Amino acid sequence: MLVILGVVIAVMIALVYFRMKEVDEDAGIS
Amino acid sequence: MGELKQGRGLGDWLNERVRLSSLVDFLRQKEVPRQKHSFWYIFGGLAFFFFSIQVLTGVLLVIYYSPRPDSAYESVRFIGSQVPFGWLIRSLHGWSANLLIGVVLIHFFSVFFLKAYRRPREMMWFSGVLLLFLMLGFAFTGFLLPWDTKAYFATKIGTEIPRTIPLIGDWMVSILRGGEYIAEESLKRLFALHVVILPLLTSALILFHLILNQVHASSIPLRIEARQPGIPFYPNYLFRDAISWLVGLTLLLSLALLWPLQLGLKADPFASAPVGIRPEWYFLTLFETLRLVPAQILGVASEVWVNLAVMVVTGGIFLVPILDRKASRQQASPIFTAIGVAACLYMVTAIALAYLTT
Amino acid sequence: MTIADAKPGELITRKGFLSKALIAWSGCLLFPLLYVIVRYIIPPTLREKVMAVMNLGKISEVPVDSARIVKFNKTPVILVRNSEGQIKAFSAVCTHLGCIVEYRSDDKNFHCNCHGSVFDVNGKNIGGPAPKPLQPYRVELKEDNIIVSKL
Repeated sequence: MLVILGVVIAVMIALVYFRMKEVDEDAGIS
Repeated sequence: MGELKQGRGLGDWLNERVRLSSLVDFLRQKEVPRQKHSFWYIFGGLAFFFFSIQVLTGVLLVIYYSPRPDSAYESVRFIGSQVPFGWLIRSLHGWSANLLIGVVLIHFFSVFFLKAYRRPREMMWFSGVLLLFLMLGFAFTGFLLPWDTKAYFATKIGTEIPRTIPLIGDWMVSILRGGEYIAEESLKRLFALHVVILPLLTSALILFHLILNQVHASSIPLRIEARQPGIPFYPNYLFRDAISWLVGLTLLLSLALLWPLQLGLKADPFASAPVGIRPEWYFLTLFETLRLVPAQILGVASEVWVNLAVMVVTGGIFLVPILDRKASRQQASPIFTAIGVAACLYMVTAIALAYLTT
Repeated sequence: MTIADAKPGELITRKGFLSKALIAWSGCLLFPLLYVIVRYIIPPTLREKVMAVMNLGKISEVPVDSARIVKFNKTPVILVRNSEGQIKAFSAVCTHLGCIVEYRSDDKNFHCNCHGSVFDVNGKNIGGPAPKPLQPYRVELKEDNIIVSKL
């Protein structure tokens, strides 16, 4: 159960992280 | 409904009615500084996250909890065994409490060492210190509610401590206990504190604290340059907040699933205190101090001295922005840094000693 | 691959993808969360001891031309002793909206004070908004014990 939750949250973190990189690029943050 | 087709749909529909755009624009303008120590900014929001978890799980628990000595223990056992996911909600609530206090302490110390309390942010410090004590108040009042052995003795001892305060000590103890002993009246009023009074005070102070954070933005430490541009709060810094919350959530779920909360035996006011009894980690500094101080100093009982010391330290903590005049003049104040380091070392040593010797 | 290399359609698709994927993934996570909360809130069914037959007292405790309300498992039941000395038992719950009825010996009927329903001594609804008679129970007398069971 913990493994499933861990994977689900890891995917979430990845999505947030890459989306963050996108908006950082737009805002001119390296 | 024809208006819905104009513009971008739901966003515009809401905006016409609720004017969210001004808030979003402000959040876009608000910038979080980028500097060497920006990492520490994350802990305020993380504390807010764990507090929100407490509110959500707490509201769920209060649906089944019964705040009377005759039924409190049984209601907690009911939650843990009969209510679907009850064990999970309760474990989340208990572990998130520990994480919340931990994160609040990290936030407190990082603000202290980075001297973010200096002018013009003194009010953020005052509200923040009050919030720290409210969080400890939540932990103390919440701990009694299962009415098991540990809860009962922790509360009995904890509410005995103020007795040696001059003039008002006895009165304070009876206010906390609703009488002379830990009994039904104690449970009722500590429950009221935990579920109504402390949440109201905390919500007001958090709002105040957050508004000030909008007014002043985050502090940049002395003699440090911030890189430009700063990070727009919306959406850029919010994504950083979100990542920290997801990591915090992972930690919380791991703890709650691997080490679910247990329930001891039902409280028995006439049983002896069990061997090795000690408070939760966040009260161990006070606990170990009480154990280390000799029974009498200059003919006065140690508890009186410790109470005095606690009052002086608490007052000192509260007044840091006023006491640290150098920092308020934007000058380095190594004395306060040294005091902070000493305090941290003392805390860690006291906690370690407490664990090793019980 | 730089922004200059990408075709306009490609760039928009990739940017849109992450944002949409994020919203979709969060949306999906909402369901298990709500499931847990809703399951938690629905009251657990408690297995309780239900008796089919109960001894609800002695006949001497119910004077002639009077009634008493007693507990049959979790239901209030009204025991009424008519002027001939016979005991009858009915559910005391008014069939209109659930208030508890009372027996009035002046007209020998059951009255519900909430909305004015009236039931005769056999439980039949004879006045007011009650749509059905009071549910009757079987009564047996063993020595002077009133033994009640469901019909």
